[in-house]
Parts: sequence; structure tokens; C-alpha cells
Amino acid sequence: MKRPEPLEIFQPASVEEASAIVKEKGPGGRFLAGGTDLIIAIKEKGLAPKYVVDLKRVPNLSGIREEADGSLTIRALTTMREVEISPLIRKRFPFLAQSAAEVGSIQIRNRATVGGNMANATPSADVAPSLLVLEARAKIASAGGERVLSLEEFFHGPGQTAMLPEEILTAIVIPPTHPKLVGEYIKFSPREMMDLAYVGVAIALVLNGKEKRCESVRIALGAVSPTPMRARKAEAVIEKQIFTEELAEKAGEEAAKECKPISDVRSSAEYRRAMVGTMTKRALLNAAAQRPGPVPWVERRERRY
Amino acid sequence: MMMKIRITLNGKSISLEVPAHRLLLDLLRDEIGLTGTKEGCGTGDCGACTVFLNGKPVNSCLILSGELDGAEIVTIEGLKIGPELHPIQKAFIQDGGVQCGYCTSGMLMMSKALLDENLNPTEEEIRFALSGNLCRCTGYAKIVQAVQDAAAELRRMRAEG
Amino acid sequence: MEQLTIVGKPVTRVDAEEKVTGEAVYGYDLVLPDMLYGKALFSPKPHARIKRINTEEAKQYPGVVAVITGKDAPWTHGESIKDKPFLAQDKVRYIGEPVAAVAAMDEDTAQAAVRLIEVEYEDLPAYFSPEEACKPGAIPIHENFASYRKFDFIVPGSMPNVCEHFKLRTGDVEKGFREADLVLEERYYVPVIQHAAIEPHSSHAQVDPESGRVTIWVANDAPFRALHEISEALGLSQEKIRFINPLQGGGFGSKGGLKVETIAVALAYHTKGKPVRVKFNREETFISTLTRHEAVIHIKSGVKQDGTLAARQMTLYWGAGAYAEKSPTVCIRGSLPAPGPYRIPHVRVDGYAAYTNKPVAGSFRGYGIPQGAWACEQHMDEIAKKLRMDPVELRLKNIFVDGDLAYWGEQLHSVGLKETLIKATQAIEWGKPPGFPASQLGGEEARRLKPNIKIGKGFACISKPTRTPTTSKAGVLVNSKGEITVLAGTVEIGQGCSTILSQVAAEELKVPLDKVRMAPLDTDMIPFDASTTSSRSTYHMGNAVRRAAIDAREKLMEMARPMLEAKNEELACSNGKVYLKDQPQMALPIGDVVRRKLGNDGIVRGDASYTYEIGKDLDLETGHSDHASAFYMYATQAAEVAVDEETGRVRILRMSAAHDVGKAINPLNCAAQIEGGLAMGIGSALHEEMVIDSQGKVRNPSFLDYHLVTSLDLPEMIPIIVECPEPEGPYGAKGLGEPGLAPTPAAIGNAVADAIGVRICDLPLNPERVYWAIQQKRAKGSSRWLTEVA
Repeated sequence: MKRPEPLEIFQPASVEEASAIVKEKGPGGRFLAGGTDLIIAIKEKGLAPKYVVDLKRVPNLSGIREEADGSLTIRALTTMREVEISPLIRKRFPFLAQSAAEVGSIQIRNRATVGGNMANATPSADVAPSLLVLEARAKIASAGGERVLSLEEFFHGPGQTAMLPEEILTAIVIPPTHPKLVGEYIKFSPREMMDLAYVGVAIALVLNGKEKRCESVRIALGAVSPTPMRARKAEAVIEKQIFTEELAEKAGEEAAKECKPISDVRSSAEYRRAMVGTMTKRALLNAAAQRPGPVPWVERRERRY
Repeated sequence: MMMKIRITLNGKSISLEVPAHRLLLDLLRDEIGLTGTKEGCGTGDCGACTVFLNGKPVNSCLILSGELDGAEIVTIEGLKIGPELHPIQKAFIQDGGVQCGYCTSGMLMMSKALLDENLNPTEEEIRFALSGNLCRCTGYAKIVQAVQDAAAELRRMRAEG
Repeated sequence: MEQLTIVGKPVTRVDAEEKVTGEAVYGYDLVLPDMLYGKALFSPKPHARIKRINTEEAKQYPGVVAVITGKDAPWTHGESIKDKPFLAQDKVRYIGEPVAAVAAMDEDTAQAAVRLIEVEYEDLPAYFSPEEACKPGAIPIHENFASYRKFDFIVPGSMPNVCEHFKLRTGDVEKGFREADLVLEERYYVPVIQHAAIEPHSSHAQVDPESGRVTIWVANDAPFRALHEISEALGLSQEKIRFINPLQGGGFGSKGGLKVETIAVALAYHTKGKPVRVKFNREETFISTLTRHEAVIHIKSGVKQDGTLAARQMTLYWGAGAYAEKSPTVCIRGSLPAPGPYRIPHVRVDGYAAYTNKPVAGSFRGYGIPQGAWACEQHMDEIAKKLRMDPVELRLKNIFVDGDLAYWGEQLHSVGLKETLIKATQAIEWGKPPGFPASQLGGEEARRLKPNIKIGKGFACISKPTRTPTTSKAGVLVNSKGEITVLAGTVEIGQGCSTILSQVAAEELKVPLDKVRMAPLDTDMIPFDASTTSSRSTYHMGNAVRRAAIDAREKLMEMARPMLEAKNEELACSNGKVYLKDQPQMALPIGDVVRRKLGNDGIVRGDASYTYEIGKDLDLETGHSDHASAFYMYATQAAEVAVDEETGRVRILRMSAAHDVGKAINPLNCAAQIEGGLAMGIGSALHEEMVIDSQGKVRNPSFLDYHLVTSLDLPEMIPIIVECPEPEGPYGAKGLGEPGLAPTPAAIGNAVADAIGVRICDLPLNPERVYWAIQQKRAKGSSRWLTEVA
């Protein structure tokens, strides 16, 4: 662990300017959003950027907006706390608000941004599975223009994304969703809060009719592969079927098979795999049973059990 | 790289020339001399360094001075209301919410942040709000009690205008 | 007995206001004029010879004042065994050992320069388990062990790397096993954990070039002991050394001994009189200060069919880490009562403190008791299960009561254990079917809906001795304004001693609490105290302050006698006044007494010293002593837990803690100590472990991965104060600081075993460990689950 070393800091007023600084200064720099990953990487992981480009003075890089077509834009510098308490997100995607609420502490969430979290591509990032099941897209800009990628394409590996050094993630866009979509995010970790996810499972589910036929299901996993991942084989177990507990359990087993966890100081790969099974089943059951709308923390905690 | 910044600290506007890489926590403690804000872990895991930045509680150990121009900062030294202890401070004393006291500054700042938003928090809401503030001495029970009592006092003050 | 006015009252803390305003100055906050900034380089090798150190580049770095290595600080120290160099000499013995250090104009410079130091190492074989380290043929971690200076009572024995072998011999265990109806043998393991006080470690030091005087500013919990240790190491008379104690942001045993202090002192000899500050960050605090002893514990018991204990044999391997520090005494005081607070006719205990190539283990709240209790109390429940006996019944049949002759040869008195056992178990409704508090898990209905949740109850009992014999001295000053200053060497580490000792002084001088202040702790000004450890302060320093206050009071009354024109009349003291007993209107405020006799600047001083007089010393062959401890603390804690069988996650639903404190001088503070102890105990039961890999590296040196409990991880806590007075203690008080966490893991372990029907012998009971235990039970039908020590 070390103290930050001398560095240059730039505070551009536009995305183009930010991108141009990186082009000009070359390698060895980092973009700075909330800093809750970057400063820790400097202190604990030996990162020593020569310069940082602070994006917080770029106008219009934060905020949550519902578009006319029903899609939802979360600009990159929106903080986790803003996502957690946003009435709009709590109404439409309570599980996304919940996954943001699982990140660190309130102090951390007041700084940590959605864009920063995605750009750092941590496999255990809590909001990533929720965004994956919403089939969110990443808007990327540079001096050269803008492009849009699906979040799945965006993640390449731990700390690795599809972005070029001078590119900036400007927004996450959640496309219009089915009105009956329900979802769930369960973070599994030893303590109630403040841990990294040992396993994270997000579900987005559309069930039809009294018989609960599954019109669509998306399952995404965090902390159990090099990138947050969709569990497509598990989805296939349920897709178009009548939703039952047995099927949820089978989907869990399938998810456990298709994830690619590693062993580390937090837990063994085998245990993570087993927990993917259990948590996927629980998340599916919770999602299927769910009332729409925000849920108090105490109840969210109970859903882990 | 040295930077000129202007910040408002505990209500007073000040200009500083600081290295951009200096952490807000070190700026407060080493350069300005306000040591009420504590360092426990340096990685945002303990909350001892909690201060208000532009009205929101944050970990000052994860913020560079270079980010701060124009910022408004409130530390534990700015919590008193004039010469009077804030009701949260009084409640921590009264209920035994302080032992070694090293986490106390951060606990108080976070408690204030909670009560600024919610004057009638449940026990679970208090525990949730304080979950990023580690205490090794108290077992939290008396801290939670203190926040409840402070909330009651603040409600009483508000009702009396 | 006289009516008590302040003692026994739940007054608020005298030190709280400066802490809630941020004005309190802790060691980590302290800035000295002209101060330099120190930084150490730590060993990356668990066991290696140092072949070469190159400091040239670091010395050339602009702003660097000094770069030093072991050659520049040729001293060794150690409380019990002088085995630890200030900076590594010739070899390193653990990852995290300080090898070199830099003093510079600022912290950035110190950090940059220290990274320019090059060290070349030659690897040596390393040991990471105390059991392995002392097997025949193991190579010594300390080649020159025999030549080290040691405490007289240390018996290393003949096994390699063992720095203490404690023996307890009572009766004939083999005979006891033969006579028993049931013989049960088990093995338990407690991993390395850390105190994790929220304030990291730091020390400031200055050496006056002319006088050679060394001043050290550090939040050490035993400044007089540290002073002695530094004096012996440097070969300097004690008058030449001064310790000044800033406030301490949590101790729990971590801030005893010398860690960062030695680096600061070594640097201060090379800074031409300038003070130097060395701060450890959190990672450095994890790897280079002190830890709690890991312990491998073998326990074997013989029991009669009716539950009467016939014999118990225990072998305990205490992992000392790379240097002895307090390991010999942890080994002695942890092994001696390890067989538990029970009447057992035949007992044999062998405790071995063994060097390993792990970070240094030191004192930790509980001093060996939690480790022994983890084994003994779970073992007791296993016995109860085998005998189909209620665990409470089994304890009641055997636990210590007044007048018992303990197996170490001491006649016990003031034993409140039975009351703690009954009250703690009642508080969680022992014997009733597993309750399901309505507030938890959504009530009864949720329980039916969640077949994966299993509920269980458990409890554990302990007794804990205190460091004996020891001395505390105190002074009490009364000035002409009637203000009282207490001079006491007890360190305020958060436990509340300044409030307790203020209460004692206020009680004896009959003044309001706000008239009393504690003098800052400076070894130049304050009378001697042994240490702020071992839950000894309320008893020892409480007695010393009480006597000093009485001394001052008697002096005041003697002075007041002519002023009140008293001849043979009896005088009394109350409300800050001295008066004639028969004519209470004839009264003088104590400040006036001082002023009239000694003038405005006058001070009346009372002094006292308290030493608990020990009978016979511990017998080195049998471990017997007729007074092994000044007093004993007794406690029972009981837990109700819910275990999620599909994940292994343990949630504690409620937990009671009944502690025999003798007399609660401050019930609010007692409850606070119990709750804090419980929280720490719950952390050590469920989460805490310093994960040290097969190369000796601590893999989780941060609060992200070393899991302290948060505000959300704790259950309803029910502190219960039991008062079985200790005649020698002040107002009957014993101690309380340490026992709060001692029985906690065992109580939770018993509850988990009750819930899931499988005994887990290793700590912590984290979800993964519990999960695999459940899986293994399902696969094999086994009800025991053990893991090998890493």
C-alpha cells in the first residue's frame, strides 16, 4: 500500500477535449470519475499514472433520463447512490437500484459512478449483472465520434474493455423493456454489507398468464468469470417453459456448470460454483414472486436466505 | 504538480496551493492541521475519514486535492452549532456511543448525513447508513441508540421551531 | 458499608466530549516541531539470509536525511526473550519484518526513497505451523536461541523452535482415563487473527544529541514496560528514557510490546536531534505489528456416566510467529486454565509456544483464553451429546464454585460462574424449542417456508486469570480550588479507565465528577504502573487510586482539624467539604482547606501503591500455584443462531453475555465493554482470519478482505452484569475488559453444531467452511469435520 505519487491532473470541459488530452499525452494516463477504484488501484495495486483526466467538469455527463421510446439513459458520471435512490429506477427496475445499493458504503456510493465502474470492468461489479439482464448498451465517445456497443461486447476481461485509450464511456442505455418485466439481484458475500460480491446473480423475467409461462428470461452472473456474464444455458432451461421451482433449480444447476469461477483469498472456485447454483435458483424464485416497486433494505436482505 | 484551489472549509472560504496528488484526508490533517478526521484504512473500507463534500458524506482518503477546486467541505470540526454541541454529539456522549473515539468523527458525520435526509429512521435504517463505518470497540448498539436519541431531539427541536 | 455516591452509577464518560468534537489528539495525529518522516522497508521473504543491502541510491535521493539498516541499530529487544532486532540482522524471519528505514523531509520523499533500497536474499526453509515447527529435525528459526537473555521462568524444553514449554501436572491422567466410562479425544484449531484497532500504529521518537535522552511518543498500552524494554535494549538507564502517551484509538493488546517504536528510535539516532515520526498504514499494521496466537489444541477427556469429569489431557501448540514477544506468558496463562472452569481430579497440560515464520503474535484481548475455550467448551458439548445429557447439566455438575480447589492448586473464592451460566442460558430461553424471534427472518411463517434454515442454541463458560503479581501506583492531587488531578499510569485505550478512576477518586474525596481530571500520561511525571493489560486496571489501579485518594482525604482532614477547631471530634467528608460529624454546619470546602494551609498555589498530594501479594510462584514442574491470579473473571455467553444449509451462512439471532465483574463501578461502561467484546468475539467466530498462504504472505491485509463486523452483522445483544464481590477489589470489583470475547466463538460453535448436527473444529465459521461441513456430513453421514492446518 502506498501514497499517491506526484501526477498531473487535467480537467477538460468537454469529451472531445478529454479525448484529445489522452491522444496528445499518450500512454500512462487514466480517466478519473469518482476515483473509488482508481485511487485504490494507485494505493494498493502499484498503479502510478503520470497524469489523470478528471471528467467531473465535463457538462452533461451525469443524470438519469427516460427517453420517449421508453429507453433509459444513465449518463456515465451518475453516482451509484443516485441510481440507488432514483425514483425512476426504483419504479422501473428496483433490482437495478438494489444492485447499486450493494456497492460499498453510502460514502463510496456518493463518489463511485456507473460509468467508472463499467469502464474498470471488475468481474464482481454489482450493477453489471443487472445491466446485462436489461441488455444495456454502452455509449462510447472520443474526439473522433461516437459508437454504441452492447455491454456484453464491452467487457473483455478483468480491467479490460473494448474501449481505446482515448475513448470515454459517456452513458449506459437501457433499451425499452417489456411492461411485465420483473427482476432480482442477489449479492452473496459473508458480511451483510461492505464486501465484494463472492457471487452476484441478476434476473430479468417476463412471465405470462396464470400459468406463469416464461416469455423471456435473462440471467447474468458476477464474480464468477473474467467478465460479468450472461448464463445463456441456464436461460434456455426456463425460456418458454412454465415457471416452477424445479425448473429454477435446474437453471441454477446449469448456471453453476457454465460459470468459470476462480479460487482466491475470498473463496474457492468450487464453493462459488455451488453458490451460483443456489443463488440463481433463489433469484429466479424471488423475481417470479415479486411485487413491483422499491423494497426496504431489511426485506432485500431476507431474500438472500 | 502544484495547484491553486479555492475551497469552502467549515463555512470559511480558503485558497491553497497544494500538490494535485495530495489526498483530501492528508490535506485536511497534514497541511491544514484539522486532525479530527481520522485515517483507519486508506481504502474506503472503514469510514473513519468521512467528511461532507458538496453536501454529501464521502471517504476523504479516496479524493485527490486536484479534484477539489470550488468544493465545499465540512469536517467534524464544523459539526458544532456555534459554541453548542450538535444534538448528535450530545447523544453520543449521553448514550455511551464513544469508547476509544477513533471512529467517532466518521460515525458522527455519517449519522448527520442520515438525519439530514431522514429524521425518523428505523434501527435497520440507522444500521444500514452506518455500515460503512467500522467500530472495533462498541459493538454498535450504543451508537445506534445515540442516533435514535439524536433523531428524537432533532424532531423535538424542529417541532418547536 | 458507606453509601456510595458515584461508584456504581452509570455516569457518562469523562473523555467523550473531546472525542466527539475531533479535538482529541491520538498518536496518529501528533505533529512535532521540526519533525522528520520515517518509512520502513519490509521483508518480502518469510525466512532468508540477507546477503547484501544497497542503500546508496536511497541516500542520494533529495530530501533524505538518513537511511539505516540493522547495522546502524545493533540492538535486540523482547519482553520475555531478547530475540528481536530493531531492524533485521543478517536474516529475516517473516514477511513484513522491518529490514531498513528512511527518514526524510516529508512522507512522499520517504516513500520514494525507501523503494530505492536494494536487498538480496538467500531463501531458507520456512515453517508456517507451530506443530510442524517443533517436530524433531526442524531447523531452528533462531540459531542462537540458547544465548538469548530470557525471563527466569522460561522453560524452552528440548523440541526445536519451542520458546516455552508449560507443564501442568495434577493427579494421574492415565488412571483417570482408566476409571472413566467415556473417553473422548479431539483436535481443534484457531487461526491467526488481528486486533484491528481502527487507529493504525505509529510512533514518534527523538534523541537529544547532548544528553543522549530518548523521548518516545507512542500510544503504547504499557509505557513503563516499554520503557524498561527500551532501556535494556539500548543499555541506557531508565532516567534517560521518557514515554509520552497520546490518546490511543483502540488497543485490544495490539499496542503493547515494541513494534513501530523500535524503527522510530533507530531512526532518531541518525537525525541529529530532530524528532522522527513513523506511521504504519493499514497494510503495514496487518503484516508488521502483532497478531493473536494461532493454536492447535488436542484435548482428551475421561468422564463418568453421570457426567463427572475424571481426567483431562491437553496439548496446545501456540504459534508464536517469528519472535517470542509475549508468547511464553500467553502459553502459560492460556494453557493453565485451558481445561476449563471445572473440577477435574486428573489433569495434564502441555503448552508449547513455537516459533514460526509468520508475523509476530503478541498479547490479544483474552490472552490465550479464547483459544482454549474454543476447544474445551465445544469438547464439553460433545461429551454431553455422547452422554445424552443437557450441556447445562453437564456444566453444573462440574463447574467451579466457591471453595473449590482448582486443578492448579488454588482454593477459589468469589466464584460467580454458576450465576452467569444460569442467567446467560435463561436469557436465550435455553431448553425451550429453538425460538424464532418475530423480528428475525419474518417470523414463524418464514421458518416453515424456509426448510434450508436450521436453528440452534449453544453457550460456553470461561474463567480468566489476570497477570499476577503486578503493581500499580497512583497520586491524587487536590488544589486550592478543590479540583482533583489523578496521576495514574493506566492508558485510556477506549476501555473507559479515565472515567472509572475518576469515579473512584471522586467517591473517596466526595466531590462531583466534574471536579476530577486525569493527568496526561508521561513517564516523567506519572507514578509506575505495570501495564494496561490483562483486565487488571480497575482492580489494581482502582485500588491504588482509591488508597491515594484516601491518603489525600486524610491529609485534608488533618489540616482541617485546627481550622474547624476540632479537638477529639470526628471529621467527615462529603459534597466537597470537610465537616464535623456531629455539627455538619461546621464545614469547609476542601479547596479552602488547601488554600488556608498552603496558599493559593498549594497542593495536597495523596500517594499509594497497590501490589497483589502472591503466595508461592508457579511451580515450573507442576504448574501449581496457590495464588495464580489476583482475581478470576467468570463468564457465560449463549447464542441462538440460524444456519442456511444451502450456503453455510451463519446468522446470529440473539446472544446473551453474563459476566461476573465483582462490582460494576460503572454499569453503562460495563455494558459497553460486554457489547464490544461480543462484537469482536462474533467477528472472530464467523469472519476473521489472517489468511497466510503457503509462502508466508498475508493475503488479506486490508479491511476489504479482513472482515470486521459491521453494524449490520450483529444480533440483539443481551449484556448481563453479575456481581460476586472480590474482597480485595476496590468496592468488590474484578475486571472485565477481556472476557467479553473469550467464550463467544465456542458459544456460537456449539449453537451451530446444535443447528446442523455437525461439529466444526476450525475457526472461523465462515459460510464456505460451514457449507463444506454440511456437504461432507450429507455425503458420509459423518458428524465431525476437521480441516488440516494450512
